[in-house]
Amino acid sequence: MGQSQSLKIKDLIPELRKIVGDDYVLDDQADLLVYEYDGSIDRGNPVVVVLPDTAKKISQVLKLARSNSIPVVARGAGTGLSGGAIAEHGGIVLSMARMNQILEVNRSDRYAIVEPGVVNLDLSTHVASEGLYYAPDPSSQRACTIGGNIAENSGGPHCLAYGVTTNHVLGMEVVLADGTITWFGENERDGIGYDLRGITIGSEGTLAIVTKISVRLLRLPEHVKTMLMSFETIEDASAAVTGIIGAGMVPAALEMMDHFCIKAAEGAVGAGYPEGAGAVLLVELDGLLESVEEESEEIEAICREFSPLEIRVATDSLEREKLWSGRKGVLGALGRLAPNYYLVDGTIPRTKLVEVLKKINEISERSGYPIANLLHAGDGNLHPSILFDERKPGDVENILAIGAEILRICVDSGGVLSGEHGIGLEKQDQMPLMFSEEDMATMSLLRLAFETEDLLNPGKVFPTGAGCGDISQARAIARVGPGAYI
Amino acid sequence: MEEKHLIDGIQPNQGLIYPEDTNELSSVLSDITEPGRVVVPIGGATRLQIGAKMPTYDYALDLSNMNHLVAHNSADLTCIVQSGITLHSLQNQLREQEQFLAVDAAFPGKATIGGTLASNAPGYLRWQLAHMRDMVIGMQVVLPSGTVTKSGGPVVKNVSGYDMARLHVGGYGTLGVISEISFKLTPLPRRQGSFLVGFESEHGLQNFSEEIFDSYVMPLALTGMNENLIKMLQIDAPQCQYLMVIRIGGRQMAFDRQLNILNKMVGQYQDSQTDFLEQNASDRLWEKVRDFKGYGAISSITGRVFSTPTRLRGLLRDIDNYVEEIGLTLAICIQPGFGTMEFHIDKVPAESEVRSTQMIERIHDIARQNQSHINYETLPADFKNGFNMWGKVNEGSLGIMRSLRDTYDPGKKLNRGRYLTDKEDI
Repeated sequence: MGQSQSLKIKDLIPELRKIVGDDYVLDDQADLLVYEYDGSIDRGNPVVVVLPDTAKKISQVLKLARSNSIPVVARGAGTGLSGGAIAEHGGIVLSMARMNQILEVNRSDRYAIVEPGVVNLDLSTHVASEGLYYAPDPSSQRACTIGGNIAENSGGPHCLAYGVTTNHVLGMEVVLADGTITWFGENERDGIGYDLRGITIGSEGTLAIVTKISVRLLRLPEHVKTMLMSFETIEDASAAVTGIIGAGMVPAALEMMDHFCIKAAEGAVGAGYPEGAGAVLLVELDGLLESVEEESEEIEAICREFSPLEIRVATDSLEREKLWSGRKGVLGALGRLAPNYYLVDGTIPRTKLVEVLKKINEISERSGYPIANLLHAGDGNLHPSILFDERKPGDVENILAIGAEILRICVDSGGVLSGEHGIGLEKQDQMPLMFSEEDMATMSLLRLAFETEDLLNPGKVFPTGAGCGDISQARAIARVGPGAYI
Repeated sequence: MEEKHLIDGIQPNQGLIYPEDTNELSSVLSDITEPGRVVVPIGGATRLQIGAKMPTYDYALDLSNMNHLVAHNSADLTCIVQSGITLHSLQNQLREQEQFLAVDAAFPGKATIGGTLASNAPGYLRWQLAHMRDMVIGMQVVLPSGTVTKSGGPVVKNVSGYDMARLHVGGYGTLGVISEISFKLTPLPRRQGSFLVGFESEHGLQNFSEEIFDSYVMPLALTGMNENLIKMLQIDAPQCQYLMVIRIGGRQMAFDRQLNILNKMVGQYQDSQTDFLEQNASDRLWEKVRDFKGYGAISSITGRVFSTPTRLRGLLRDIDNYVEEIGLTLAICIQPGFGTMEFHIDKVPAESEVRSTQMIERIHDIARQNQSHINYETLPADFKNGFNMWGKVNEGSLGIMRSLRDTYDPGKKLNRGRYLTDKEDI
């Protein structure tokens, strides 16, 4: 961000105030501080933050930004883990915090229309009395917004059976870079024309700003059964996962935590996980009572082939919530084991779990950094969390290199760079691991078809040019602010 | 020259090309450099009638030799296929491992996976109401320039870069030619069957479908049809004006439970009659329903409506009334859970007082009045000029679609003038 851009934006502040109102333009340094970061390691300073409450106002802001060549970054709750909401090139941050209304719930047609700033869990809570819910459930669902979920195509533990965000969005109102307000899809499940809805989901705010969203609502299941299975080793637990999927079972959720996670979760929330176990599986089945019971018997039988230490079934909703509290609180709890952790996100074929986790363990032993393994195991989505102390010289450099090595292993095993956190700033320079120059050029063309000025969330997704892991690492280190909690 | 390469009666004037693999496909496209040449990718040619009439075309790019199951990782519930494999061949190979791809389309012995995806073909088997695009986890596409690109991969969860495959599902081969696809698969239900309920009124059909979606029944497929379609398909069903067919599946106990729920629910409908078909008979029935638009005369008019479950109520009634008013036969098949409807109308006889063009435009109006969208899929070739089969797309979206087309195929090499238009290319 140059000084000239900053001065230019300062000159525009009266106009921005006119568009969104005096109280909804923030340019005081103290106010801007909280918009410098998200849930990732990255930092970036916006010049101004505006908080519009209508698509029309967003359109006006985008037109003003475009005529002055100023970048605009949309922001939900700032819980993203890849730097997607970071104002890497300064400019205007467009906070969706005021666009937080559930506009319509249509029970007969099973959809809701919401504004992008609606908190994910609030929607399910709102429609629960109708016997409905919204399926994507990222771990941050108490805070993250549906608009942010669209930007990152977020998943969650229950997307194993029900799919990620893109599978649950019917249509959306968007504001294009030139200020045009239009709909991509509507409330129908199908239609004609290119799937602009689908291509916009997961595009990390680089193609359009989403201002209304029509989402599918599902019927709450008749019966839910949650089981905790503990194993002596993570290899046994991994083999059990492969066995379950290989037998054609697709539970609602199939999560795995290793001994580090068990220890941390137990210390923090006392979820009742057996501390001596090498790994636990949290398996949830839902649906018809008969179906759940039959499937749970089969899953138990598969798991018994791998000598489980214990199989425990939650007997009521309180016990089920307790088991889940450990899983949902585990990331925060890792702070009990080390001052910092670096969470890696990659996906591999589920048949490669044993092999890849073994390699991650070898990296941990070789480097001396403990790596806590938390997995959406049923999807093959790994979240190895490297424990470190940023105050120790060299630690940040080392853990970033380890993260890159783990991702390389994921890609080499037939997997991908990100399962649910997105590319953002964090992995943009690792894109060449997975994509050829032609693949990335084809994606760049998509961006150009939507906007030619590179003003919507610039500097994200695509490599910075060098395509080199070392440069990525150097940039990441440079961006990490003092005292950053990774 | 095979009949399948005739599009609205027009044959390719430069020739047929049968690439054997992605490299050949790439070479073919990169070698066609003369400005103005038009290439039409062709799979099984089961849906080639859709789209505006081309004045001429140069090359038929027939993908039927790219027909291999590249990999089936049954333990991971994924597979990779070449785009020219037929649905029938793929499902047969997957069945050996008790798995299937939750995608179906008419004439699966001919329809290829690539064509099914590219033309967003309707199908009845929608696992948990998912769309076929939700089964795609990775895709390799050859651009009009011959450049080979990929997105996604053989894993079930992925947010690495733009989800490029989305552009090509329903893109009618206008942005690139699909060469390879990675899918996630579904275990075959251990037991399957179909529950049939006949109603004397459209009201009963619609109410019952709403009740099903409010219940814990999870149909593998669900469709409603009118008497004309029942007769057309010669379905051995209870005597009725409207028939609902609910395909259920699962483990034995879950299957029995769903059947019990349905029987209990239907007891409240005094004008209803029921039947149950075990798997083989059920499969035969669904094959007829799946292929129904091919049963009519070549001159018939078929189309597809995109709507919501509740809007379908009014739409079904209004279209039915109108077609009856003008003395024609309308066969319809609705998918209430998905909010879509397929229809079939015999061509208006020459001596009729109502002109065919008036009729298709009036049906368009009825759809608009019910906040729904019609895409005519089959029109006699002489109707095509001057009538947009696709219906209207909102201007904001159309602007981006034009931009995408200009970006990826600036020479309009692929399927020029056929998509979302009645004359010029988008």
